[in-house]
Amino acid sequence: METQEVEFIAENTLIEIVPKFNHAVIHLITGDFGPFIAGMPVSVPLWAALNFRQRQKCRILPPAWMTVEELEKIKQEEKDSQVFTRIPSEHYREITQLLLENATPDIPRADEVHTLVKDIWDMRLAKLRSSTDVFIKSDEVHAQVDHLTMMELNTVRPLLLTSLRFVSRLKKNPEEQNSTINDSSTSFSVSMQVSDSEPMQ
Amino acid sequence: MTSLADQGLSLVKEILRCPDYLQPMREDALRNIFEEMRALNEANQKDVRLISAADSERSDGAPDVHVVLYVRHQLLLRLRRCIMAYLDGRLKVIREFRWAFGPVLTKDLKANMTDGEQKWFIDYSASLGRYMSSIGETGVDLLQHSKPPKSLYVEVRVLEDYGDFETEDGQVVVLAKNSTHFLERSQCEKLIRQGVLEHVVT
Amino acid sequence: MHRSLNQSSLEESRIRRSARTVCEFEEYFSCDEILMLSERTPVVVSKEVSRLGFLDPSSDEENLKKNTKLELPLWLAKHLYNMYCVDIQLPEAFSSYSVNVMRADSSIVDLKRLQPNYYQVGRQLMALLPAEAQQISDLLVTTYKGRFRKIFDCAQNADIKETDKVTSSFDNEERAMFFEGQKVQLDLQRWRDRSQRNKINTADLVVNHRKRKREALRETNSSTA
Repeated sequence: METQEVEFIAENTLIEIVPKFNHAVIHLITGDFGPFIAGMPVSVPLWAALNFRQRQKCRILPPAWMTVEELEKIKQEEKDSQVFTRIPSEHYREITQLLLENATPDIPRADEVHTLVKDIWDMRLAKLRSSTDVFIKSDEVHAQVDHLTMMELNTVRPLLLTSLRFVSRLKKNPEEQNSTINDSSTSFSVSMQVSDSEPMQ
Repeated sequence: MTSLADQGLSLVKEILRCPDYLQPMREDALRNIFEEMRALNEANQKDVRLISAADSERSDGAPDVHVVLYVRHQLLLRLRRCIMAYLDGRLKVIREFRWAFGPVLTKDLKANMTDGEQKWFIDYSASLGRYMSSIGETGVDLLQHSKPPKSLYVEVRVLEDYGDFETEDGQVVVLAKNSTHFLERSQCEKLIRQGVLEHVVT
Repeated sequence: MHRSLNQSSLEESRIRRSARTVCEFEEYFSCDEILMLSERTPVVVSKEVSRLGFLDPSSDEENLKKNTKLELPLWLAKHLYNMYCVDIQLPEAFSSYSVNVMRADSSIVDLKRLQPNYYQVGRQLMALLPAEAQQISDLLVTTYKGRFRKIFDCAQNADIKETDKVTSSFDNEERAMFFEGQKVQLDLQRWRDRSQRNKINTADLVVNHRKRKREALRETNSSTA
């Protein structure tokens, strides 16, 4: 998957806006939104919110986790934990990027928010790199990692899958594959469960 | 035989060196390889005749040639593999041309293609068109929407003279070099991908 | 039935040949595989073979003598191995000395200089040297496991100008993996850059084609001037 495709999926997240206009309920394929009453918060998909914001028709309310205090708490948890912690939003990176680009005045302390989200991202990716290294070095074929977001998985997926297939080929004697001349027919699947379950006590 | 398929290898190396453009077809190299293959084949036929002649005489003095026969045969197969990989590599590039440049071949694209390859391009293009129109009810243009769309309209600048461009609602826009236009994304995306237009991002 | 060829050796090889058919190819049209199979490998001739003397550049004989040591391209070595004419020798890059080096720290080895097709040649040798197959397999796996982290980290720090320097010690397969990882990073970087994010780009093929056309035009102009 490409980064822009992950962002496209992220744009489906619901977000609160305060419209500056009045309008009846809008019927979209994804659902019904509204009615829009100026001054009253209403929930819409992110892509719609951004569109309204660009045309100056609303003010966006940042999600509850997008404050400096919350993010600092998340960052500390991430630092203290050896495994991945649960992030309040599956698409934290993309949403931050989109909101900071299109609705900066609506986000209090935007620069600090940007730095904190970046720090959390870097920390998680470093952990991901180490755990993929451990995975490759072990002889396991199955790993379970909780609380990874789509964007993080997307970053490591190509290289990780190629490496695992490569190692499995190196272990097999080519003569064992003699019956199927074309090696690419051996399928190799990696299951990496991203679950929302609570970490085991 | 002492070259041991070096000529074939030079063709393969050319494909690896230029993975995204076409050099002129190496007719001279191909001719040399065919000549070499013919010579190998003749040598093999000669040796087989020797064996069957000796066989019919039931003598013990026939030459022990079965390894040489095998080696020459494997060399023939190796040369064939090199040629096949060379031709296949060229076709892969031509296939990419269809996805990047569209269904029409300009003169500079055709420059290094043989007649057979040009015909292949036309056949592939037709096959792709048939497939695309068979998807769903009215067909799907697979070359459209390579990335998720961000806006309905885009601003574009014309990079090379294209002439008249008719939009879906019947309007005709003259695409002269360096002019800018505000067009519907779905209609001009292909021209941007082909390098005729440039997407201007503010 | 009388055959004029050496009957007993033919019988012998017919019986044993069924046990020796090394896998011929994995991907027929792959140019990388064809190139890899032309790498030279050391062999020892195990029996005299008539009319193959030309394979040994240092000899003028018509026949290839037993116990001659020479280097043959892998594809030919494989077929002669099938005919019980040669025994393959383990090249230096896969010897027990290498095993010790790789076990210690494989990430510092310059694989490109040692053997640029390390893993692929190694796998070919596994079939040709069945006694050492397990050892070679373990060596390849150990080597890769030690180098994976380096490849991964290099790919994640995508500075496209430094690519050649960074991959200078990688073998061909590692280089391919590096580019895969780097592609994702470049995509991410482009996504972060505000001016590039939503831009529809001209296809890479078209850009390269144009560049080449301009250069060719410049060359013809300067030569006619």
